[in-house]
Amino acid sequence: METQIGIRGDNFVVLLSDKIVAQSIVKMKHNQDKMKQLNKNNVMSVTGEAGDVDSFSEYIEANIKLFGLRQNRPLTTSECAYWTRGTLAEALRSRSPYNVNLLIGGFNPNTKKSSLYRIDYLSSICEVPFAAHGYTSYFAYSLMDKEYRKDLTKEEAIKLAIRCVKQLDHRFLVGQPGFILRVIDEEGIHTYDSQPILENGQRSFNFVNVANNVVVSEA
Amino acid sequence: MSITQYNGSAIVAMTGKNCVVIGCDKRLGQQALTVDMNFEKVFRVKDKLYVGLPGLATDVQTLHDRIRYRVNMYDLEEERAIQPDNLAHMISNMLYQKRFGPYFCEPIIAGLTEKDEPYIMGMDLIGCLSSAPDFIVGGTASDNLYGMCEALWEPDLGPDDLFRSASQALLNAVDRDAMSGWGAVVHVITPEKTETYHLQGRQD
Amino acid sequence: MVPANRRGFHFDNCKRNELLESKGSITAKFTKTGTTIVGLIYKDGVILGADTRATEGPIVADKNCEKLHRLTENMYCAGAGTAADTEYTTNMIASKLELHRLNTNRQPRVVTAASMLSQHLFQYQGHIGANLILGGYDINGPQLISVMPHGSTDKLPYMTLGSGMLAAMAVFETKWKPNMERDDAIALVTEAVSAGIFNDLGSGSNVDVVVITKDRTDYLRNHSKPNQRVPKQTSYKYPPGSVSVIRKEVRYHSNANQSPAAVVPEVVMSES
Repeated sequence: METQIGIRGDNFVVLLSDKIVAQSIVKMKHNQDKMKQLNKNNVMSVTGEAGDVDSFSEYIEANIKLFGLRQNRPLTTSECAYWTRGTLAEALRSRSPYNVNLLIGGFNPNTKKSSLYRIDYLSSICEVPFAAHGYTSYFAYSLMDKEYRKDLTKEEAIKLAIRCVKQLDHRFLVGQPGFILRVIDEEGIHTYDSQPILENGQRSFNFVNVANNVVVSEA
Repeated sequence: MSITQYNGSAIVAMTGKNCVVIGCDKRLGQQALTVDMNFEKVFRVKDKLYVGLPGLATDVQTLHDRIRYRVNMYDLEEERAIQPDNLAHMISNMLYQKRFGPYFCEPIIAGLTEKDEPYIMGMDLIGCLSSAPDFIVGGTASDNLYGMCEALWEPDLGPDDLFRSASQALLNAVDRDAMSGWGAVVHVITPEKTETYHLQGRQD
Repeated sequence: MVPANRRGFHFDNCKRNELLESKGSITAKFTKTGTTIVGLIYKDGVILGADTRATEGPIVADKNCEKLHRLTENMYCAGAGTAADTEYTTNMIASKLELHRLNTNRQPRVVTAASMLSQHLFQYQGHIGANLILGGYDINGPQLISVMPHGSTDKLPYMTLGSGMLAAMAVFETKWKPNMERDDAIALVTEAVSAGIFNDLGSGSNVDVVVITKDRTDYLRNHSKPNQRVPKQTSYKYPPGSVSVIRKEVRYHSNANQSPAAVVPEVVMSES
């Protein structure tokens, strides 16, 4: 039921997730940020079982920060992703497995390249141009398959994410009222919040940069 | 559905005259949903030694990590290059240790021995070794691969002929398997060099 | 990371596999030997016989596998059941027997091997799926003992085991007699295994035989090959250019068999 999308361009990554915390059929919270900033250049978005999401992502976040302090350099995206996979795989074989699906996206300031990793709850990892988890994937993958290009610009990638969200809102039984979108590029991490709009009687979303109120819309 | 069919895979290894070929498909799925079309399942261990890991993707990756660790330790402790049969028994042991809680992966080893003789070996998920003079197959398309290889394999094929026979066996097998496909990678191992071919495959 | 030198069976995957099974996935098949294995006592010793087919469900996984395992110079063991279990159990007992031989400076006895096998299998309460026929010659003469997965043993003059045991036993019950001559006994073992090969779907291919007497052991690998494949009448070679290649990389090998080796791959674009 949770939404999680990632799109990788040449020198940026776009991550998007919904904001709902639900228990059974009840929405408990409408403004939950499901992403963790692992360091200056890397973001991890997490969905899954409620308790697992928090304890696992906090553990990963803290440890990656600790690594960064000890080594005196931030971990790269692939280092973050593979260490996370290893931790999840080990936990899976213990008495307390974590039921979490992850997307890890980031920018490498040394190579000037971005990368996006998709890790599922069985801890299979793959580096991909675009990714989604859960029910969302059935709606978003077809759209991303069709529209994705290697030379996508930041604005185009955000617009593609908006189209995915619009499609979900239109076709998915379980509607989601809001989303958080993050762009990770050379300058760092930019956060956008969703703003629902009405477009010829149909709902769509604009994304507003939290820092400077710049609006990105689909059109 | 069996857990070995969760992600989908197809691997084939074939022997020829002074050469071996090992190839795999590139799909990673979650049941019917395709997640990645660039997921290789054959890994280089040494110059003339490759291992193919068909099965559950998480175990493929965990096993690959552990094989790499054990082979590096072997290098440091023994100070000589590991041979294909050594590697086969090493992996077999790793799998049998987990006899009662196995990794869902059936490794296939392909390489050239010290004397540059072709070597292929397969095993089941708890490490029962099985050798064959001709070919070893594995993954969700293994039934199809058995059929293709029985028809296409013949003794003493040179590297070029062997490459084509193995590639055609693989491509045609995955075309009749819904869980694997989306292109293929084939490694042709000869005494002088290893050629890696990325093949065009159906995208459906 | 799991330390490489931790001994014995590991159970770290069990919890996870339980989880996977609870989500409705079926755990995978193991390679089984399917199998017809037989053994008999004749005038000068004991003979074991086996077919050479290994199966994985309905698929023939290995057309010429070895089911006669060497324990010591004077003892062999024919195995049926889960192939990995027969292989690893007999290997482990073989190592123990060799150490026993070196420690005691005596030829190991068949009952020693039988006790070791039976105790090991009993310890694992039938979870190790090894059905074994143990044959050997020691100071007590020729002996034939069967060991079942739960650890029970039988001592008989002739026996058969595996999915083809009924077919093979039919032959033994008709033709076995005490104190047979060597050639007749080998022929009878071959006939019994062949009955399994041709009448049982789990058994097939060739007949392996081992003859153990007081002072020598003859391992007759592929003693009878009743299912030789005829040469192919047509070649199905594909013509050059029939495989479309997107990308080709070449990696030249460094000086043969030296351990550090990494040559930067040369990338070639081609359409073969």
